[in-house]
Amino acid sequence: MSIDLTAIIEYIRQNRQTYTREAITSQLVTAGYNPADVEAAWGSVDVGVPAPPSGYAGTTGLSGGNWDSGSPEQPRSQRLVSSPAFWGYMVGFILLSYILPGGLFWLGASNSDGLIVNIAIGMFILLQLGALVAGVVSLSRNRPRGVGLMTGVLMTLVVLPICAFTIFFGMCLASLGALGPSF
Amino acid sequence: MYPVLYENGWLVLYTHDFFTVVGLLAALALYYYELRKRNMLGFEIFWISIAAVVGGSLGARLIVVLDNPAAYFSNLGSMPLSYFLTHSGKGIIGGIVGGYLAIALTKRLFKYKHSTGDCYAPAIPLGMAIGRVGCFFSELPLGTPTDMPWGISVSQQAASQFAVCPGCSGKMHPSMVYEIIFHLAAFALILRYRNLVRVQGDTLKLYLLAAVVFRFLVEYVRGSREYAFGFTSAQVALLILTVPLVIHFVRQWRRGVYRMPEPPVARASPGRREPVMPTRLVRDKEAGLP
Repeated sequence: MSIDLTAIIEYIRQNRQTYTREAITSQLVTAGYNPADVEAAWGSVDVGVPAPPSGYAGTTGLSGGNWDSGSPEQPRSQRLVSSPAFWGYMVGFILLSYILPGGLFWLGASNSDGLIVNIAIGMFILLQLGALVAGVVSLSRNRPRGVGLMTGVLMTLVVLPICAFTIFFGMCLASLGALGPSF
Repeated sequence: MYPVLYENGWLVLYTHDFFTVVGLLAALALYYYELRKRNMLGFEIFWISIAAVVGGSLGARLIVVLDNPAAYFSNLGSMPLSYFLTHSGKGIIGGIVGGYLAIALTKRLFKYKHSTGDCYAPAIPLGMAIGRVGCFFSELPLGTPTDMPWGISVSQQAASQFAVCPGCSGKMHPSMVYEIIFHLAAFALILRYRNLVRVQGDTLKLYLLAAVVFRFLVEYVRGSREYAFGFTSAQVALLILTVPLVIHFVRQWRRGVYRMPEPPVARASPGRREPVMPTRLVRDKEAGLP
Protein backbone atom coordinates (compact mmCIF):
# COMPACT_ATOMS: atom_id res chain seq x y z
CA MET A 1 0.00 0.00 0.00
CA SER A 2 1.53 3.33 -1.00
CA ILE A 3 0.33 6.87 -1.51
CA ASP A 4 1.74 10.31 -2.22
CA LEU A 5 1.61 12.05 1.16
CA THR A 6 2.53 15.49 -0.16
CA ALA A 7 -1.07 16.61 -0.56
CA ILE A 8 -1.99 15.51 2.97
CA ILE A 9 1.09 17.14 4.47
CA GLU A 10 0.36 20.38 2.64
CA TYR A 11 -3.24 20.35 3.86
CA ILE A 12 -2.09 19.73 7.44
CA ARG A 13 0.52 22.51 7.24
CA GLN A 14 -2.05 24.98 5.93
CA ASN A 15 -4.58 24.26 8.66
CA ARG A 16 -2.71 23.12 11.75
CA GLN A 17 -2.37 26.64 13.17
CA THR A 18 -6.15 27.05 13.16
CA TYR A 19 -7.76 23.64 13.58
CA THR A 20 -7.20 20.83 16.05
CA ARG A 21 -5.36 17.69 15.10
CA GLU A 22 -8.53 15.64 15.59
CA ALA A 23 -10.56 17.93 13.29
CA ILE A 24 -7.94 17.82 10.50
CA THR A 25 -7.53 14.05 10.81
CA SER A 26 -11.28 13.55 10.74
CA GLN A 27 -11.63 15.80 7.69
CA LEU A 28 -8.93 13.89 5.81
CA VAL A 29 -10.33 10.48 6.71
CA THR A 30 -13.80 11.62 5.65
CA ALA A 31 -12.28 12.71 2.34
CA GLY A 32 -11.18 9.15 1.75
CA TYR A 33 -7.60 9.04 2.98
CA ASN A 34 -6.27 6.04 4.86
CA PRO A 35 -6.03 6.86 8.62
CA ALA A 36 -2.58 5.27 8.74
CA ASP A 37 -1.37 7.54 5.93
CA VAL A 38 -2.82 10.57 7.71
CA GLU A 39 -0.95 9.59 10.88
CA ALA A 40 2.24 9.15 8.88
CA ALA A 41 1.75 12.62 7.41
CA TRP A 42 1.23 14.05 10.90
CA GLY A 43 4.44 12.40 12.04
CA SER A 44 6.28 14.04 9.19
CA VAL A 45 4.81 17.48 9.93
CA ASP A 46 5.44 17.18 13.68
CA VAL A 47 9.06 16.23 13.29
CA GLY A 48 9.61 18.98 10.75
CA VAL A 49 11.47 16.83 8.23
CA PRO A 50 10.80 17.29 4.54
CA ALA A 51 7.82 15.46 3.12
CA PRO A 52 8.59 11.89 2.19
CA PRO A 53 8.93 11.24 -1.50
CA SER A 54 6.08 10.13 -3.64
CA GLY A 55 5.33 6.48 -3.18
CA TYR A 56 6.37 6.51 0.48
CA ALA A 57 5.41 3.10 1.72
CA GLY A 58 4.23 1.76 5.00
CA THR A 59 2.20 2.89 7.93
CA THR A 60 4.97 3.01 10.51
CA GLY A 61 8.23 4.93 10.53
CA LEU A 62 7.45 8.57 11.00
CA SER A 63 4.30 8.11 13.05
CA GLY A 64 4.05 8.87 16.78
CA GLY A 65 6.48 6.08 17.63
CA ASN A 66 9.46 8.34 17.00
CA TRP A 67 8.49 10.73 19.75
CA ASP A 68 9.99 8.98 22.72
CA SER A 69 12.45 10.90 24.80
CA GLY A 70 15.66 11.78 23.12
CA SER A 71 14.69 10.75 19.60
CA PRO A 72 17.04 12.40 17.10
CA GLU A 73 14.16 14.03 15.19
CA GLN A 74 12.86 15.76 18.29
CA PRO A 75 13.59 19.52 18.37
CA ARG A 76 16.41 20.46 20.72
CA SER A 77 14.26 22.44 23.15
CA GLN A 78 11.75 19.58 23.34
CA ARG A 79 14.49 17.05 24.09
CA LEU A 80 15.75 19.28 26.89
CA VAL A 81 12.42 19.53 28.70
CA SER A 82 11.75 15.82 28.15
CA SER A 83 15.11 14.99 29.70
CA PRO A 84 14.92 13.51 33.23
CA ALA A 85 18.31 15.14 33.93
CA PHE A 86 16.87 18.64 33.45
CA TRP A 87 13.98 18.00 35.84
CA GLY A 88 16.18 16.11 38.28
CA TYR A 89 18.76 18.89 38.56
CA MET A 90 16.14 21.61 38.76
CA VAL A 91 13.84 20.00 41.34
CA GLY A 92 16.79 18.55 43.28
CA PHE A 93 18.46 21.94 43.51
CA ILE A 94 15.26 23.69 44.59
CA LEU A 95 14.71 21.13 47.37
CA LEU A 96 18.35 21.33 48.45
CA SER A 97 18.22 25.13 48.46
CA TYR A 98 15.23 25.25 50.77
CA ILE A 99 15.59 22.17 52.96
CA LEU A 100 19.28 22.31 53.95
CA PRO A 101 19.66 26.02 54.81
CA GLY A 102 16.04 26.13 56.01
CA GLY A 103 16.64 23.27 58.44
CA LEU A 104 19.80 24.90 59.74
CA PHE A 105 18.03 28.24 60.05
CA TRP A 106 15.20 26.65 62.03
CA LEU A 107 17.72 24.86 64.27
CA GLY A 108 19.63 28.08 64.93
CA ALA A 109 16.51 30.18 65.45
CA SER A 110 14.93 27.70 67.88
CA ASN A 111 18.18 27.51 69.93
CA SER A 112 18.82 31.27 69.62
CA ASP A 113 22.18 30.45 68.06
CA GLY A 114 23.15 33.36 65.79
CA LEU A 115 26.16 31.52 64.35
CA ILE A 116 24.03 28.66 62.96
CA VAL A 117 21.55 31.18 61.54
CA ASN A 118 24.40 33.01 59.79
CA ILE A 119 25.81 29.73 58.48
CA ALA A 120 22.36 28.88 57.08
CA ILE A 121 22.09 32.24 55.30
CA GLY A 122 25.65 31.94 53.98
CA MET A 123 24.97 28.42 52.79
CA PHE A 124 21.87 29.56 50.91
CA ILE A 125 23.80 32.33 49.13
CA LEU A 126 26.71 30.00 48.31
CA LEU A 127 24.37 27.33 46.95
CA GLN A 128 22.81 29.84 44.57
CA LEU A 129 26.16 31.21 43.40
CA GLY A 130 27.61 27.72 43.08
CA ALA A 131 24.66 26.49 41.02
CA LEU A 132 24.86 29.54 38.78
CA VAL A 133 28.56 29.01 38.08
CA ALA A 134 28.15 25.23 37.68
CA GLY A 135 25.22 25.84 35.33
CA VAL A 136 27.18 28.18 33.08
CA VAL A 137 30.19 25.82 33.04
CA SER A 138 27.98 22.79 32.27
CA LEU A 139 26.08 24.42 29.41
CA SER A 140 28.44 23.29 26.68
CA ARG A 141 29.19 19.85 28.13
CA ASN A 142 25.88 18.79 29.67
CA ARG A 143 23.08 21.09 28.59
CA PRO A 144 20.26 19.52 30.68
CA ARG A 145 22.40 19.87 33.81
CA GLY A 146 23.42 23.44 33.02
CA VAL A 147 19.97 24.68 32.15
CA GLY A 148 18.42 22.67 34.99
CA LEU A 149 20.72 24.28 37.57
CA MET A 150 20.26 27.82 36.24
CA THR A 151 16.50 27.37 36.05
CA GLY A 152 16.60 26.03 39.60
CA VAL A 153 18.30 29.24 40.80
CA LEU A 154 15.70 31.39 39.06
CA MET A 155 12.87 29.33 40.50
CA THR A 156 14.35 29.41 44.02
CA LEU A 157 15.07 33.12 44.11
CA VAL A 158 12.25 34.63 42.05
CA VAL A 159 9.40 32.44 40.85
CA LEU A 160 8.63 30.32 43.92
CA PRO A 161 8.86 33.17 46.46
CA ILE A 162 6.44 35.29 44.37
CA CYS A 163 4.01 32.40 44.03
CA ALA A 164 4.31 31.41 47.69
CA PHE A 165 3.71 34.95 48.96
CA THR A 166 0.80 35.63 46.66
CA ILE A 167 -0.87 32.23 47.05
CA PHE A 168 -0.35 31.41 50.73
CA PHE A 169 -0.90 34.64 52.58
CA GLY A 170 -4.10 36.62 52.71
CA MET A 171 -7.63 35.39 52.25
CA CYS A 172 -10.20 34.52 49.63
CA LEU A 173 -11.96 37.46 47.99
CA ALA A 174 -15.27 36.04 49.26
CA SER A 175 -14.27 36.65 52.86
CA LEU A 176 -12.77 39.98 51.94
CA GLY A 177 -16.16 41.01 50.57
CA ALA A 178 -17.61 40.40 54.01
CA LEU A 179 -14.76 41.80 56.03
CA GLY A 180 -13.28 44.50 53.82
CA PRO A 181 -9.51 45.02 53.81
CA SER A 182 -8.41 44.77 57.43
CA PHE A 183 -6.20 47.83 57.55
CA MET B 1 -16.57 23.46 58.53
CA TYR B 2 -12.82 23.42 59.03
CA PRO B 3 -10.98 26.73 58.46
CA VAL B 4 -7.82 25.13 59.91
CA LEU B 5 -6.97 21.74 58.46
CA TYR B 6 -4.01 20.91 60.73
CA GLU B 7 -2.42 22.63 63.70
CA ASN B 8 0.61 21.52 65.69
CA GLY B 9 2.46 24.20 67.64
CA TRP B 10 3.82 26.78 65.20
CA LEU B 11 2.65 24.79 62.20
CA VAL B 12 -0.83 25.86 61.08
CA LEU B 13 -2.20 24.51 57.82
CA TYR B 14 -5.18 26.55 56.64
CA THR B 15 -7.82 24.67 54.66
CA HIS B 16 -8.11 27.42 52.06
CA ASP B 17 -4.37 27.52 51.37
CA PHE B 18 -4.13 23.73 51.28
CA PHE B 19 -6.87 23.34 48.67
CA THR B 20 -5.53 26.28 46.65
CA VAL B 21 -2.15 24.60 46.37
CA VAL B 22 -3.65 21.13 45.71
CA GLY B 23 -5.90 22.63 43.00
CA LEU B 24 -2.96 24.41 41.41
CA LEU B 25 -0.77 21.29 41.46
CA ALA B 26 -3.58 19.10 40.05
CA ALA B 27 -4.18 21.63 37.27
CA LEU B 28 -0.46 21.83 36.47
CA ALA B 29 -0.16 18.03 36.40
CA LEU B 30 -3.09 17.72 33.98
CA TYR B 31 -1.73 20.57 31.87
CA TYR B 32 1.66 18.82 31.71
CA TYR B 33 -0.08 15.59 30.65
CA GLU B 34 -2.01 17.40 27.90
CA LEU B 35 1.16 19.06 26.59
CA ARG B 36 2.99 15.75 26.57
CA LYS B 37 0.11 14.03 24.79
CA ARG B 38 0.24 16.67 22.04
CA ASN B 39 4.05 16.60 21.77
CA MET B 40 4.09 20.25 22.73
CA LEU B 41 6.43 20.00 25.68
CA GLY B 42 9.25 22.39 24.89
CA PHE B 43 11.44 24.93 26.64
CA GLU B 44 9.28 27.83 25.45
CA ILE B 45 6.20 26.14 26.88
CA PHE B 46 8.02 25.62 30.16
CA TRP B 47 8.57 29.37 30.50
CA ILE B 48 5.09 30.20 29.24
CA SER B 49 3.70 27.94 32.00
CA ILE B 50 5.88 29.57 34.65
CA ALA B 51 4.69 32.97 33.44
CA ALA B 52 1.08 31.75 33.66
CA VAL B 53 1.49 30.77 37.31
CA VAL B 54 3.29 33.99 38.25
CA GLY B 55 0.86 36.16 36.25
CA GLY B 56 -2.09 34.33 37.73
CA SER B 57 -0.93 34.71 41.31
CA LEU B 58 -0.13 38.41 40.81
CA GLY B 59 -3.42 39.01 38.99
CA ALA B 60 -5.36 37.37 41.83
CA ARG B 61 -3.85 39.97 44.18
CA LEU B 62 -4.15 42.97 41.89
CA ILE B 63 -7.86 42.48 41.26
CA VAL B 64 -8.44 43.02 44.99
CA VAL B 65 -6.56 46.31 44.83
CA LEU B 66 -8.71 47.40 41.89
CA ASP B 67 -11.79 46.34 43.85
CA ASN B 68 -10.91 48.62 46.74
CA PRO B 69 -8.33 51.15 45.51
CA ALA B 70 -8.98 53.81 48.17
CA ALA B 71 -8.23 51.42 51.06
CA TYR B 72 -4.98 50.28 49.49
CA PHE B 73 -3.57 53.53 48.12
CA SER B 74 -4.34 55.54 51.25
CA ASN B 75 -2.20 53.09 53.28
CA LEU B 76 0.54 52.63 50.70
CA GLY B 77 3.11 54.82 52.46
CA SER B 78 2.40 53.68 56.00
CA MET B 79 2.05 49.90 55.70
CA PRO B 80 4.82 47.41 54.86
CA LEU B 81 4.26 45.17 51.83
CA SER B 82 4.20 42.07 54.04
CA TYR B 83 1.21 43.51 55.90
CA PHE B 84 -0.62 44.10 52.63
CA LEU B 85 0.04 40.50 51.60
CA THR B 86 -1.18 38.93 54.82
CA HIS B 87 -4.24 41.14 55.29
CA SER B 88 -5.38 41.40 51.71
CA GLY B 89 -7.43 39.08 49.51
CA LYS B 90 -7.18 36.96 46.37
CA GLY B 91 -9.67 36.73 43.53
CA ILE B 92 -9.84 33.93 40.97
CA ILE B 93 -11.12 36.26 38.22
CA GLY B 94 -7.94 38.30 38.56
CA GLY B 95 -5.99 35.06 38.61
CA ILE B 96 -7.39 33.93 35.28
CA VAL B 97 -6.97 37.35 33.64
CA GLY B 98 -3.40 37.69 34.98
CA GLY B 99 -2.52 34.19 33.80
CA TYR B 100 -4.04 34.77 30.36
CA LEU B 101 -2.20 38.07 29.86
CA ALA B 102 1.07 36.54 31.05
CA ILE B 103 0.69 33.68 28.58
CA ALA B 104 -0.09 36.05 25.71
CA LEU B 105 2.89 38.29 26.51
CA THR B 106 5.35 35.42 26.95
CA LYS B 107 4.18 33.81 23.72
CA ARG B 108 4.80 37.08 21.92
CA LEU B 109 8.23 37.32 23.55
CA PHE B 110 9.19 33.84 22.34
CA LYS B 111 7.38 34.34 19.00
CA TYR B 112 5.50 31.16 19.86
CA LYS B 113 2.66 30.57 17.40
CA HIS B 114 0.93 27.37 18.56
CA SER B 115 -2.31 27.62 20.50
CA THR B 116 -2.01 26.27 24.04
CA GLY B 117 -5.59 26.96 25.14
CA ASP B 118 -6.79 23.40 24.60
CA CYS B 119 -4.14 22.14 27.03
CA TYR B 120 -5.42 24.49 29.74
CA ALA B 121 -9.09 23.75 29.02
CA PRO B 122 -9.55 20.69 31.28
CA ALA B 123 -6.92 21.81 33.80
CA ILE B 124 -8.57 25.09 34.81
CA PRO B 125 -12.01 23.70 35.82
CA LEU B 126 -10.32 20.87 37.71
CA GLY B 127 -8.15 23.31 39.66
CA MET B 128 -11.10 25.63 40.23
CA ALA B 129 -13.30 22.83 41.60
CA ILE B 130 -10.61 21.72 44.04
CA GLY B 131 -9.83 25.30 45.07
CA ARG B 132 -13.50 26.04 45.75
CA VAL B 133 -13.64 23.07 48.15
CA GLY B 134 -11.15 25.02 50.25
CA CYS B 135 -13.35 28.14 50.11
CA PHE B 136 -16.37 26.10 51.18
CA PHE B 137 -14.65 24.37 54.09
CA SER B 138 -13.07 27.62 55.26
CA GLU B 139 -16.54 28.68 56.40
CA LEU B 140 -16.60 31.80 54.28
CA PRO B 141 -19.86 33.70 53.91
CA LEU B 142 -21.75 31.43 51.55
CA GLY B 143 -24.51 33.47 49.98
CA THR B 144 -27.83 35.24 50.33
CA PRO B 145 -30.58 33.83 52.59
CA THR B 146 -32.64 31.01 51.12
CA ASP B 147 -35.48 28.64 52.02
CA MET B 148 -34.25 26.01 49.60
CA PRO B 149 -33.70 22.56 51.18
CA TRP B 150 -30.01 22.63 50.25
CA GLY B 151 -29.41 25.91 52.09
CA ILE B 152 -26.45 25.79 54.50
CA SER B 153 -25.87 27.68 57.74
CA VAL B 154 -22.59 28.57 59.47
CA SER B 155 -21.73 28.42 63.16
CA GLN B 156 -22.43 31.44 65.36
CA GLN B 157 -18.72 31.70 66.10
CA ALA B 158 -17.86 31.98 62.40
CA ALA B 159 -20.76 34.34 61.72
CA SER B 160 -19.60 36.72 64.45
CA GLN B 161 -16.26 37.18 62.65
CA PHE B 162 -17.82 38.68 59.52
CA ALA B 163 -18.69 42.36 59.45
CA VAL B 164 -21.02 41.87 56.50
CA CYS B 165 -22.94 38.62 56.23
CA PRO B 166 -26.60 39.19 55.43
CA GLY B 167 -27.58 35.53 55.60
CA CYS B 168 -25.49 34.33 58.53
CA SER B 169 -28.50 34.17 60.89
CA GLY B 170 -30.18 31.42 58.87
CA LYS B 171 -29.74 29.19 55.86
CA MET B 172 -27.78 30.55 52.89
CA HIS B 173 -27.24 29.61 49.27
CA PRO B 174 -24.12 27.38 49.11
CA SER B 175 -22.65 29.48 46.28
CA MET B 176 -19.29 27.70 46.57
CA VAL B 177 -21.02 24.35 46.06
CA TYR B 178 -22.78 25.70 42.97
CA GLU B 179 -19.40 26.66 41.56
CA ILE B 180 -17.86 23.29 42.45
CA ILE B 181 -20.69 21.50 40.62
CA PHE B 182 -20.35 23.81 37.61
CA HIS B 183 -16.60 23.31 37.30
CA LEU B 184 -16.81 19.54 37.76
CA ALA B 185 -19.54 19.38 35.09
CA ALA B 186 -17.43 21.58 32.79
CA PHE B 187 -14.42 19.32 33.40
CA ALA B 188 -16.42 16.20 32.50
CA LEU B 189 -17.98 17.84 29.42
CA ILE B 190 -14.62 19.07 28.16
CA LEU B 191 -13.07 15.62 28.50
CA ARG B 192 -16.02 13.97 26.79
CA TYR B 193 -16.87 16.39 23.99
CA ARG B 194 -13.78 18.50 23.26
CA ASN B 195 -13.18 16.63 20.01
CA LEU B 196 -16.29 18.30 18.64
CA VAL B 197 -14.60 21.71 18.89
CA ARG B 198 -12.61 22.03 15.68
CA VAL B 199 -10.80 25.35 16.14
CA GLN B 200 -7.70 25.41 18.30
CA GLY B 201 -8.09 27.27 21.56
CA ASP B 202 -11.86 27.48 21.31
CA THR B 203 -12.44 24.80 23.97
CA LEU B 204 -10.83 27.08 26.55
CA LYS B 205 -12.64 30.15 25.29
CA LEU B 206 -16.00 28.37 25.31
CA TYR B 207 -15.36 27.21 28.87
CA LEU B 208 -14.32 30.72 29.91
CA LEU B 209 -17.46 32.20 28.36
CA ALA B 210 -19.66 29.65 30.14
CA ALA B 211 -17.78 30.22 33.41
CA VAL B 212 -18.14 33.99 33.08
CA VAL B 213 -21.90 33.73 32.52
CA PHE B 214 -22.33 31.22 35.34
CA ARG B 215 -20.30 33.26 37.81
CA PHE B 216 -22.24 36.38 36.82
CA LEU B 217 -25.47 34.59 37.79
CA VAL B 218 -23.96 33.13 40.97
CA GLU B 219 -23.09 36.64 42.11
CA TYR B 220 -26.83 37.27 42.58
CA VAL B 221 -26.98 34.61 45.32
CA ARG B 222 -23.52 35.18 46.72
CA GLY B 223 -24.28 38.19 48.87
CA SER B 224 -21.37 40.30 47.63
CA ARG B 225 -21.42 44.05 48.08
CA GLU B 226 -22.85 46.26 45.35
CA TYR B 227 -20.10 48.06 43.46
CA ALA B 228 -21.67 50.10 40.61
CA PHE B 229 -24.97 50.25 38.69
CA GLY B 230 -26.47 47.50 40.87
CA PHE B 231 -23.65 45.10 39.99
CA THR B 232 -21.01 43.64 42.29
CA SER B 233 -17.35 44.25 41.49
CA ALA B 234 -17.03 40.70 40.20
CA GLN B 235 -19.97 41.23 37.85
CA VAL B 236 -18.41 44.42 36.47
CA ALA B 237 -15.15 42.54 35.87
CA LEU B 238 -17.05 39.65 34.28
CA LEU B 239 -18.94 42.00 31.94
CA ILE B 240 -15.62 43.49 30.81
CA LEU B 241 -14.21 39.99 30.30
CA THR B 242 -17.17 38.92 28.18
CA VAL B 243 -16.44 41.57 25.53
CA PRO B 244 -13.15 40.13 24.14
CA LEU B 245 -14.55 36.61 24.26
CA VAL B 246 -17.66 37.54 22.27
CA ILE B 247 -15.57 39.61 19.84
CA HIS B 248 -13.32 36.58 19.30
CA PHE B 249 -16.20 34.27 18.38
CA VAL B 250 -17.89 36.86 16.13
CA ARG B 251 -14.61 37.61 14.35
CA GLN B 252 -13.87 33.91 13.82
CA TRP B 253 -17.36 33.37 12.47
CA ARG B 254 -17.12 36.34 10.11
CA ARG B 255 -13.76 35.12 8.82
CA GLY B 256 -15.36 31.78 8.00
CA VAL B 257 -13.09 29.88 10.37
CA TYR B 258 -15.96 27.63 11.46
CA ARG B 259 -16.31 26.33 7.89
CA MET B 260 -13.31 24.07 7.64
CA PRO B 261 -11.61 23.94 4.21
CA GLU B 262 -12.16 20.77 2.20
CA PRO B 263 -9.05 18.62 1.81
CA PRO B 264 -7.73 17.78 -1.66
CA VAL B 265 -9.40 14.83 -3.34
CA ALA B 266 -7.60 11.65 -2.39
CA ARG B 267 -5.41 10.47 -5.28
CA ALA B 268 -4.78 6.75 -5.59
CA SER B 269 -1.35 5.31 -6.26
CA PRO B 270 -0.76 1.96 -8.00
CA GLY B 271 -1.48 -0.93 -5.69
CA ARG B 272 -3.75 1.08 -3.44
CA ARG B 273 -7.52 0.90 -3.16
CA GLU B 274 -9.49 3.79 -4.63
CA PRO B 275 -10.33 6.22 -1.85
CA VAL B 276 -13.95 6.85 -1.11
CA MET B 277 -15.09 10.21 -2.47
CA PRO B 278 -16.84 12.34 0.13
CA THR B 279 -20.62 12.46 -0.27
CA ARG B 280 -20.60 16.22 -0.77
CA LEU B 281 -18.12 16.00 -3.65
CA VAL B 282 -20.15 13.23 -5.31
CA ARG B 283 -23.27 15.36 -4.97
CA ASP B 284 -21.48 18.43 -6.40
CA LYS B 285 -20.08 16.38 -9.30
CA GLU B 286 -23.49 14.99 -10.15
CA ALA B 287 -24.94 18.47 -10.05
CA GLY B 288 -22.23 19.66 -12.43
CA LEU B 289 -20.71 22.02 -9.88
CA PRO B 290 -16.97 22.79 -10.11
